[in-house]
Amino acid sequence: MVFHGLSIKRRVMNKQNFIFLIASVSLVSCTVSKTYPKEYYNQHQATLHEMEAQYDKITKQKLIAVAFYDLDFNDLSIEMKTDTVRHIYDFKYGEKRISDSLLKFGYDTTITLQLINNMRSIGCTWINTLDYYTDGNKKLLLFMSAPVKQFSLVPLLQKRKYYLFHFYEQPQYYDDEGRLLEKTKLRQLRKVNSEVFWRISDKVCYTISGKFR
Amino acid sequence: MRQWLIILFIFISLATYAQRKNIPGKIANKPDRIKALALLASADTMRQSIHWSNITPKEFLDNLKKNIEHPLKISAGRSTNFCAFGAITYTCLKNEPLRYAECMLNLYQYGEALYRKIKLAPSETIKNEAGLMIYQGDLDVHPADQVWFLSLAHRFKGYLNFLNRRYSKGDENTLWAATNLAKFNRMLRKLCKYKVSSRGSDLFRPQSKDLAGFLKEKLSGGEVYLYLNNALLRKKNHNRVQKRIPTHYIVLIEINYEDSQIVLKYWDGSYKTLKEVSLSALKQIVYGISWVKYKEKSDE
Repeated sequence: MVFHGLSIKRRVMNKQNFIFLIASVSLVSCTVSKTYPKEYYNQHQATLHEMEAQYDKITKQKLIAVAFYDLDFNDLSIEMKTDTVRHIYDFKYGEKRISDSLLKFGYDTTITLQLINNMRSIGCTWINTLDYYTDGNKKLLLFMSAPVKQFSLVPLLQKRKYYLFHFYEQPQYYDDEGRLLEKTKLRQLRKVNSEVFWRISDKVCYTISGKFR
Repeated sequence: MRQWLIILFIFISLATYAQRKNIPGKIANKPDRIKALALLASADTMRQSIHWSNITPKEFLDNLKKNIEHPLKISAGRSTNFCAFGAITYTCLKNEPLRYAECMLNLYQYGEALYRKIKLAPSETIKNEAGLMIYQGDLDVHPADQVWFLSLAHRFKGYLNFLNRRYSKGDENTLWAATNLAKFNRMLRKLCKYKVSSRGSDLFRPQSKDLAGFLKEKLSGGEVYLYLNNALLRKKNHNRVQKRIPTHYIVLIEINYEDSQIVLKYWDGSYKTLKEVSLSALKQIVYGISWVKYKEKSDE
């Protein structure tokens, strides 16, 4: 009788331990350390800044945005912006149509393809410019994102997280905790899409978000 | 007896006139646009409004002028829920810029105004916050658009707004500004006085054997608005399970198709966008279709 009671107690304990383990693993897989975006940036710094220069060259006349729609980096979408219309085309990586379309809209095909290759090599899902205003003046920043490598027990229900990087042309203001501030009101945090951004360098900051754009 | 018949006739005529619907024009209303610009020019000496303390008359008028001259450039903000109001504004600015300009000038000067019979009388909180919006892209520097969108969102309510009916700072990004399909159609009917037809709902997609053909047919005869799942149209994450709900309103401008590939051209807040989608994707994304017929003959 005593033996049977102990067995039940042990089973209950095992069940509790299992639930605790699942909860811990789930919690760990949901949270992303703030050091990871910095590690990612340091690891790919050269490529990121090469992409920044390439993007700068491509968009001297016309804006462009590139997105990878799958995490195998095979399906990509290119947004080519003329004065009046934004053209969005979906391609398979390496497809010949990509060059044809870029050429048709007057982009530098070679550099743009190099940019796409670089995005793929470092696992960058999105590159675009983002407009923002300081003192009523319009400014542009470069916006790149990369998916966080996450472990999930239930991949089907996994909610993806992304490192979002902002590359500014001018050095920015940050508070003591490294949070991005408004230039005009130095006590006010500058939020983009409701996200607070954190310092990597004077001109580069990051956040972690559930959306890659 | 004769007198009663005359009175009855007049009454029926008046009632019929009151029921008459407004019809959008195929092309932008140019004469109205010129009158609207003249009206704005005459309001050049307008004084600072006591109702909108954060908006100077110059900023306000510059914004209105830009909207009248370039109606397709109006921006509904980066992360706001103003897309439905943006689509409504598209048709207001295209078809009746003068009415829009008159309404906006009254709204600035008196703190409230009529657009047709719809009274726009935003709350004090809205009046204090308009002009201060930030991190919304072009909307940051367009205070008149902030006034207009906030006033519309304050005036029109649907079941999505049930839990958040009073505006507080930042609510442009929340359910306070959300719009369900019935509310959208009601806005078109009341604000523009259109005879609106609609298919679909907030939860179930419209059933059509030839959806692309149906859209093309409606588009050839009038303005078409789509209520769709933007998470599928323009992916923002790589989650395997995507929400199956509509989240976004667009104005359809053109649709062309060959086999199962469809090219959509639509207005999506400050941009005309051209995007290729497959027929199956189109069926997946479209939840609501609202359309309004054009005038048979343009009287411009």
